[in-house]
Amino acid sequence: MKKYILVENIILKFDEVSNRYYAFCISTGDHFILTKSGYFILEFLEMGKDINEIISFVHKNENIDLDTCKRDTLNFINKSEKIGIISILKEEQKNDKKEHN
Amino acid sequence: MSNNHLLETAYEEEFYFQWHITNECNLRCKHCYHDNYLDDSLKLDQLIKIGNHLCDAAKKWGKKASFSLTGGEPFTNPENLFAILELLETRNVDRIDILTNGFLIDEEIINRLKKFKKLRRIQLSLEGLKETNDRIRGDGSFDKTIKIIKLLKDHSFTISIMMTIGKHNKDEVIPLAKELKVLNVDTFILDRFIPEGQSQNKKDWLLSPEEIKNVYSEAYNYFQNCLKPRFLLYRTLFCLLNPDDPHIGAICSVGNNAVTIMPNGDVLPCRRLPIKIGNLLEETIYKIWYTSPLLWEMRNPKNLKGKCNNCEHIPICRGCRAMAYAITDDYFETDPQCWK
Repeated sequence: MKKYILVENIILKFDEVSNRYYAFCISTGDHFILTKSGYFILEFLEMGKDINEIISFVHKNENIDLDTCKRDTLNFINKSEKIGIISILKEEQKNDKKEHN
Repeated sequence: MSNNHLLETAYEEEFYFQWHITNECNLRCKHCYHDNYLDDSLKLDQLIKIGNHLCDAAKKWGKKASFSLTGGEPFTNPENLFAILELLETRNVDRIDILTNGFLIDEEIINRLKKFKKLRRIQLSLEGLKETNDRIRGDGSFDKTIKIIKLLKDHSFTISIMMTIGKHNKDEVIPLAKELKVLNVDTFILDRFIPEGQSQNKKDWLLSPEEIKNVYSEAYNYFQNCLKPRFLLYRTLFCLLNPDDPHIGAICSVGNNAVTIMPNGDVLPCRRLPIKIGNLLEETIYKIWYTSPLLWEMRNPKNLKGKCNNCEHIPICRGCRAMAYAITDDYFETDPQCWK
């Protein structure tokens, strides 16, 4: 499994007043409203937790079957990477290249 | 995941930047909140960079950018001021105000100002009738200001007059309003005196809650029957006069839809709340807006203390945090002038 980290200028924030979870980009000003699970997925990725562990956490907190949970979590991670909230760890990128070669 | 371009913590349509482009000033008013008058303005290219960045931020947040350009006295460096006006005129800016004492405005300046379509109004200050005003703002300042009002009105500028009220001038609100009516002034703004900067030792000028209530009530009643000038109260508490009248004031904008930029690029939550939350030469406005612990604290009404906590007027008031800070050193304390 790939390892991800938050992109350098992204910060996560829970706002108690609006009861909303955010990812803010402090260089471009972009901001994204997250679900609670989305917020914790990103936080756990940043903490270096294994994706299977994250899927297990989401499964415990969402009323969905494990397959759906796995699919949704991976979709969320892919989408987060595409829009620049997270990126693959450099070491992982090197490993990926080695595997391709 | 949603990429709603509205900044969720800012529910107003407008984002307001109060930009102090210089500390330099040609007056030394006794009630001034500034603590120095050194000409420590940034270089023009730095100012332009900041101006562009602030406009970009408003655009990113889907807000109408509104600027008040002030100082010190902004006309002490007209070239910087006009260069910023040129920039803002071409950018996504809804409106621009200039807050000035007006003493450096002449026909030439007026002719230069005329071309700026986004210049909504020029705000001058008077602190009462001639004797009281001149005691605070300097000899001859009342007559000079009246002359400038007339000159600007002759050229069809929209004029607002701000009066900062304390014990020294509380009985002159209505008499001054009557003079301003004759001069066809558009808006009359009452602000509350906050002892800070040059005036931090003038706490005896501060009005009691009962006195503020009387001044506000008298003014509100007077302006009910007065089409012009329009009456506007700054620094909250207006809701205690009539919570159903949204036209006389606005909720405190700290952490919501405004910041103050100082001459050296420092960012304050409000000019009257002199706590630095960042600097635009070192970081983006996004970083400041999204990460300042002070701003996040301010956004949460649960942090309010005393009478302000659990007050039914929280949605439209919250008291003046700058006043609480100046008097108690705790910006979450009860607004010391609230008469509720």
